[in-house]
This record gives sequence, C-alpha cells and structure tokens, in this order.
Amino acid sequence: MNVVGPQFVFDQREALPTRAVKIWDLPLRLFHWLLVASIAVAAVTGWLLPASWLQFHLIAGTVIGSLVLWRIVWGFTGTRYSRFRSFAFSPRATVAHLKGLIEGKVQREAGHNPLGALMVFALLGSISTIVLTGVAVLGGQFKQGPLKAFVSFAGAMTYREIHSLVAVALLVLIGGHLAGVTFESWRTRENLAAAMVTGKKRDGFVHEAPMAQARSGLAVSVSAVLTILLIPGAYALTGLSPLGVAALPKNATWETECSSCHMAFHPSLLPAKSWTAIMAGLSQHFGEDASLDAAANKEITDYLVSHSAETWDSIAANRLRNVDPARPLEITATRFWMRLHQDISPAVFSSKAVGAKQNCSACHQDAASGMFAPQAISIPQEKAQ
Amino acid sequence: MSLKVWIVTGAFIGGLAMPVLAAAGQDAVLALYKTQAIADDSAFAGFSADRGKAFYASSSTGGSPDTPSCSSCHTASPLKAGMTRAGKAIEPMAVSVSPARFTDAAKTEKWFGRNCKTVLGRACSVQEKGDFITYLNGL
Repeated sequence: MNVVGPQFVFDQREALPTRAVKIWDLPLRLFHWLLVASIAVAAVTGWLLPASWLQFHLIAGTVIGSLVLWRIVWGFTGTRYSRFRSFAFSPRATVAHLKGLIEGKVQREAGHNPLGALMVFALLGSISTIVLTGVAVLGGQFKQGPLKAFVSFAGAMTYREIHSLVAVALLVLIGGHLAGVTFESWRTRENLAAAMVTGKKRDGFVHEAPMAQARSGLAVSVSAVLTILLIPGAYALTGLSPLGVAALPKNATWETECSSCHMAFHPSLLPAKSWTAIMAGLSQHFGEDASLDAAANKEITDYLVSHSAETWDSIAANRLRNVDPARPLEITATRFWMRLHQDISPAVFSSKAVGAKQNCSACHQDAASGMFAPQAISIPQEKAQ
Repeated sequence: MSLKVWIVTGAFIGGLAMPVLAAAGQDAVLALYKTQAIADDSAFAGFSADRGKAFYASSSTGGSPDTPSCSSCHTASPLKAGMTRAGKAIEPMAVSVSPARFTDAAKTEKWFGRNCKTVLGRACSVQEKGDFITYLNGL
C-alpha cells in the first residue's frame, strides 16, 4: 500500500496554521454534493412517496449510477486526494490509526484518514449495489429498463429484497459518515463539512504537490467512451421485448363484448379458473344479465383462458393470480388490489371522472395493456370533498 | 317449381333482406316489432310514446336492486349520457342525440333481453319494446 500524505501529529494545544491549502478538487466536491442531493431524492421517492413517483426515483438512480461511475474514473485520474491510491490504506495502517485515536495520539490527515477511507469504499460499494439491483428490479417487476428482457418477476423479488436491505444499510452508513465527520471535526478543530464545500483545509501538512496530478484529459476521454458505449447500449437493451409478457393478439369479439359495460379487462388480470367461472355465469354478471350467444361465449372464454394470469409475468398477473377464495371472480377483492388502493378515498371512485373502482383506465393510462406502470398513474382530481 | 321450393326461397330471401331493412333505420326495427305485435294480438292498436316515457321512468322491484329503473344507468333524461355501474359512459338513448340507436335489430334485441331481465326481472313485451323505441325516437 502506498500511504500518501505524511502523518501530522497534531497537538491540540497548538493553534492550526491559518494558511489554507486546497485538498479536495472541484469535481470531487461537485460529485459529493450532487450525490447527496440525488440520494436524498432517491430515498424520499423510494421510502416515503407513492409508487407514482417512480419516474423521479429512476432519474435519481440514473444520476447516482452515473456519478459513482464517474467517481471511479476520477479515482484513477483526479488530483492527489481524489485518487483511490491516496487513501487505500492497509489493514495494518487502519488498525494503527484506530489505536492512535484511542490512545489520544491525535493525527491529522490531509485527505481521508484510514477510517474515513473505509467509509468511502463502503459507501461506494453499497450505492453501486443499490443501483445495480434497482435496475434488475425495474426489469423484472415492471418490465422496464435495460434488464427487462433478462429478469423474471420472481427474480426481481429477490433483487428487491437486496435493494431494500442495502438501502437501509446505506442509511446506517450515512449516519456513521456524519458521526465520523462530526467527531473528526471536533477532534482536529477543523470543520470538515466546510472543507468539502470550499475544498480547503488549514495547512500544516507536508505535501507532495497536492493539486498537480489531475489527468483531466484522460478522465474526460474515458467518460466520453463510457457514455458512448453505455447510453446506446442501455437503449438497445430497453428496446428488447420484455421477458414473459408476450404481445397480446387482438380479438374483436372479446374487445367489443367485454367493453360494452366496462373496460375490456386484460386477460392476464385473473387466473383461468376465474375467467371460466365468469363466462359460465354471464346471465348473472355482478348483478346484471350479460348473456352472450354460445359461439361468442366460447370464443371469449378460450381467449381469456389462453392468455390468463398464469401465462403472464407482469406484476399484475403475478399478484392477481392469488384471488380471494371467497370472491374469486373479483379483481378488486384480491388482497393485492385492496392494499394498493387503500389510500384512495371512496369519493375518487364515485367521482364523475372515475365512476367505479372497476374503471381501471380512469387512473391507469396503460390499463388496457395490462402493465399498470407506476408512472402511468394519474388520479383525476377530486372536485368537491 | 313446387310450392315448397317457393316458400324456402322466399324465406331465404326474406332472411337476407332483414338485416338490410334493419340497417335502414329505426323505422325498420319498429316495423319488425309491429309485425310481431300484430301477430301476437290482432287487436294491437299501435305503439305510444307516452307509454314509452312512463315505462322509461318507472321503477321496478322485480329485478336487481342496484338497477330499479332504466334511469338508474341512463339517467332521468334520455338526452344525456349515462354511466354503467362499472364506470363506463353510455351514449344518450334519444335517437336525436345518438342516431345509431335502434338501427340494428339484433343489437336491440340483445340489450332488451339483458336489461329487461336486469331491471324488471322478466322479459319485456313487444308492446313495451315498441313503446320504448317510439318514445326515444321522437325525442
């Protein structure tokens, strides 16, 4: 390990030199604060806001992924204290640092100290994991994004667990990071948060030409190559057909007959058994006579059964397969449906724009496709309370 | 040709002609009901818009409790758009607003068949159907 930045044994009784020296370069500081902002957006949209905010979560995630990628490039090309080499401490050095802290042998580091460095790598690692598993969840659960052709719904559920768990771990790490910065600022009487804004720390270190080493040209070239490869690559992958959700063939009889009184529900929204029962009981169809002649009934039944929830891998198909045994014909009686709509007031359902909870397409712009993307939700405003 | 052949040919041509006639408008559908009404009852005295209006507005306890009347879904005014219980808009029933109403005999029969059972709990009589169309045709 190349331990850069000679240790400075700092005596608290001595005043720090007032002369400031540049430690953190501008790209590093920009990276840090943009990362803070985008992680805040990702956290709020992921944990607090409803699923209809998914698009903002995805934008934040894309920004975070790009920032981390760029940070890795800059870790090999940036100025002295931005480079991984400057804070890749050996376990021995880390233990020594810890011991020194406990024994009160206070040392002041120009760049990251060994514990801070450990935190930086833990943060970068966990953030990368969250971004990558997030893309996998997006692909498998919503059939969107570059991995939609490769991840099944079941797979996405595993990735979602990892995504959530590591996100909680990241929250803990951020807490540790803030505690470390606070402690170290108190210990060395140097405001480290301010140093990440101005880039400057008070001098007193022994430097080896701290700012002279940036290879900006190389950083820009590598970033440009990555951009040229990654953006069209991601678009190309996103253009592939999603795994397990084949295009639905048209059926005019189904479309016309079923949409007479309500939207023609996508066949993937109920299991085959439910469809068969519904089609066998059309003379008493949720309180109305919806009888069809035998030929039309058979054609529609066959169509619904051959494209039922069991045959599809969308989120709706996976969830709505599990009907309420007491009310197996009702999509709106499934636990999944009820859980996702529990915060919507009955006034919305009875409003003029919606009419009834069976009218999926009033709020889900893509209801006809059976995909129910969170981004396609738009609930008509309640006029009067 | 024998009489039998003439009858079969006539029935065939008549069968072909029916949808063509039906497409000619509400009058053709009404004429079908009139023919049927006369066949059912030789004392048939014609359809009445007033009776149709009363029928449209009337309430019944014989059918589904959710839909006691035509107006349950079609609203009190046939000139206005209605809404199904599942939230889908229904075009107004009045022919002056929805000119395609009652121009397709099969479709008309299909919906009388369904909705009479749902609202009244029974099939509608030919008289009721004719009165209903006469009322909505004249609005």
